[in-house]
Amino acid sequence: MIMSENMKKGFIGPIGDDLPSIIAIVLALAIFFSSITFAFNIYNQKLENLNLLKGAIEVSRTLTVEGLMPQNAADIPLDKAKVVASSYGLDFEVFYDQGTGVSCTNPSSVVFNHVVATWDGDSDNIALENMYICIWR
Amino acid sequence: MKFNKKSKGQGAIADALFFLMICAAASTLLFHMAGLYGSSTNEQILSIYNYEYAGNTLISLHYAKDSDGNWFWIELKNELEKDIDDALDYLEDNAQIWNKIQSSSPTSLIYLCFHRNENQVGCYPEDPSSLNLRAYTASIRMDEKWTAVIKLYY
Repeated sequence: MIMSENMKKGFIGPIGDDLPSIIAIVLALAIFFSSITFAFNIYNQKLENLNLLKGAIEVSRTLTVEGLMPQNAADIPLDKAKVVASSYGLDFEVFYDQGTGVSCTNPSSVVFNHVVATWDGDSDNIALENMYICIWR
Repeated sequence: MKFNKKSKGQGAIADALFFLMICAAASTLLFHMAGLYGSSTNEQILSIYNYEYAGNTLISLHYAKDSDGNWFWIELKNELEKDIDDALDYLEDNAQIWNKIQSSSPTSLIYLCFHRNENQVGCYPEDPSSLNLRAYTASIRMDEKWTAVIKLYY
């Protein structure tokens, strides 16, 4: 029996012969591009967290620069801190420790606390309080 | 035996496997770098917070009043002029001030230390400086001889 040139044993075709290598190449490319996407997402997430921390430090510093705070947390001057927070795209709240621990409005807040001296206008009535600052995006 | 010049080897598969190996190595490197990114900056920002906490603690002590209604910082300076032990006893007698600071501190290892002419002479509570701990400090010069230092250990 005469076999034609093309009918050699084990010969599938021009693409068929390359099929195993194509599968491996496609798999390699899929792994590589998905890892690039994953790494890029991680990078963006970490950058956002770092900006949040950096902004939170600036807001905390602006609030505590005065040293002497009003005894009522609602009277704490927040204007400068609001300007700093808005430049970072953040929001925040400030309260004194009431003995119940930290309870921020936004559960994903960064919390910084500082000891501050509070004053009600009478120089004999100065108390140290633990001031919590909750900052979130 | 006649050698068939048209016979093909499996070189393409070997090349593809090498390519797969290289891509796997590159992906591993990418994951590693993504995990490491920002960790040192994160640490630096938290360090800044610790230094600021120590500084704000010193500022609040300047405004504090002791149990007799006297300015805490002035009385502390007066006690230091007598002796370091008198100053430490004064701090012990007004422990409510230090307890407030300690309860709000980010670390339980917070100390108020006194340096005389650059040498540490005493701390309240007793300073574990013999332990190999990372320290964050803020200091203020009280007068020509004395410097007060707040130390936070981690």
